[in-house]
Amino acid sequence: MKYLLNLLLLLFFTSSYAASECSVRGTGDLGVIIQRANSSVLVVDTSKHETIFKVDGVGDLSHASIVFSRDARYAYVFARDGGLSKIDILCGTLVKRIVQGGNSIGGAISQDGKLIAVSNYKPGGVKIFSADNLELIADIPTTKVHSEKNSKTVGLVDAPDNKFVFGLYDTGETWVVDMNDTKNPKIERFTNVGMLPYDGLIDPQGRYYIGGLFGEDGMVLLDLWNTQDGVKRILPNYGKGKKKLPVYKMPHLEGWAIAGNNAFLPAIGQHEVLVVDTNNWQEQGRVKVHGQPVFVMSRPDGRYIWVNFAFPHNDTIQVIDTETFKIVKTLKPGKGVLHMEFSPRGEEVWMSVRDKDQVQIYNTTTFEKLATLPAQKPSGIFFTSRAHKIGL
Amino acid sequence: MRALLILLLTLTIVSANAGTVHDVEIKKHKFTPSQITINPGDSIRWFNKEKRQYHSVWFKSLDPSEPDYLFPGDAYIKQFDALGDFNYECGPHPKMKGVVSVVEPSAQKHISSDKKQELLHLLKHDCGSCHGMTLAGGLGPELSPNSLKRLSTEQVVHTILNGRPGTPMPPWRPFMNDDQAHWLAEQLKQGKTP
Repeated sequence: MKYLLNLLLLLFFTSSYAASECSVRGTGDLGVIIQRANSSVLVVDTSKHETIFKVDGVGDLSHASIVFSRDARYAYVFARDGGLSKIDILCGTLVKRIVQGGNSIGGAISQDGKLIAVSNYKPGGVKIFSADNLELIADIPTTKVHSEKNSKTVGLVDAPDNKFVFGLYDTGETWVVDMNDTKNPKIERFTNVGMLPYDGLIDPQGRYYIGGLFGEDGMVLLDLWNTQDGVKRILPNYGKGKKKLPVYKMPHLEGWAIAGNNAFLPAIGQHEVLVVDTNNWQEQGRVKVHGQPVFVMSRPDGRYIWVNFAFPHNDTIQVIDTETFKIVKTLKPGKGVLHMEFSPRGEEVWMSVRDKDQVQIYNTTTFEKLATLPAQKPSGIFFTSRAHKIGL
Repeated sequence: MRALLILLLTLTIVSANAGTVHDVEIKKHKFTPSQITINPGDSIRWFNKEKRQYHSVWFKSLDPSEPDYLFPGDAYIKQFDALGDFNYECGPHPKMKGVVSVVEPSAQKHISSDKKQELLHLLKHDCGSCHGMTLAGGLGPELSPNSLKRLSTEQVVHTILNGRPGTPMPPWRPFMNDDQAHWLAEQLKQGKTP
């Protein structure tokens, strides 16, 4: 009986995901979902709520992220094992895969769409490739730690004027790389910015880069319009007088949860979302939440902030009203909610529920569950609308 | 079948009783690790790694007379058969202290197969968010048997349960007891991971 079921499942998957029949269609409502445990990604149609392709052989996806080419036809997958894969989402095929490092954390695509930068832990640094053929264009090793290995890099984003910005985890630095002359990258280094920067993000205009610190309370801010002013500290001592709670998963600073003048950021070691006024960078308030926040994401219209949490609270999602700073909804999708992605205009949100092997789709107004897609140990969800946004 | 099982169990116990030798370094006026957990029948080898300082390993409660000094390069081996915590210090430097905890082998403590599966799932997916799902490392270090060679099982257990202050490694004590952490540490040391 079990065999029969397996056979049926196999037939079902082979027939519906049969690769290499390229679609004639736009890609604006497509997305890619990471299946973290089996080296594969799913290409999904966000209008029809269905999977159209499964693409295998993209490496160790323990930690993986994706950026899209500007024509939104190709997805670049950054894998933990140093793999960089280029996937054709119209055809459901792996165009090219290289292993460019030993251990990577993520990447970015340049403003002009011609360069793919990869952030590496081992060997520590950033490598920059041609988006077209994945040939190496520039190698930027980071500062040595104890004169041995190079510092791990984190929070790599693209910025206007064809720049990339990233943090150096071990040595506490922020670097800005200008890639206008691809043969001679110009690097601006900001040192002693704070202890153990773990991730970073850039605002939708591409002006402000914010790095989160693990080693101390506070975040670092770089105004890319005025880099001569250096890196400033914001939200200093936000955990002062309070016991630092254990962090069972590092928060991710991805995208910019911004509403009006306020930005919403995860605290580290406190079960709080911090609210900061982007005019003067002063704290505006805090929202007590269910656990250690991981992703703090704004619905595209900025009306609500959706938050997921670290183990052991990762079965829960909370929704914060950006006017009142109150929690208006708590959802329990299941154990291991790892990531969320809003449809381009925000009427739906997709979320990965790892331990249920599901991607669940919700209406963001009524909170009604609209559909469930099967996916094996899903993690990151990436829609092609990212192709035209700075920092994503 | 049952006879075979009993035979296997007996063999396990006998081999456990043959005893493992655990190393404790004496360096920079410290016993490292200062706390060590072993099973009955195991031995500990203290090894003086100082450049020129001598020390001793004195179990005052077991023997009131001070033992001979250990000069750099010297080692002292002692076997432990009885259960319990045994405190010791250095004769010439009484501020240098250590403790040997002799406990029943964890193999004989029961961890249900469901709990084991749960621990392995935790290891793969939750430890994996920093150490990588294949434990090849990420923001946290690699956890292969080779990279863990420099740590004793007890040190791995200690890190799992208490975390590492000053680094992102949090304490996992709320989610497992000592025996379960010990079992997990053994799986890591032996590379028996999912």
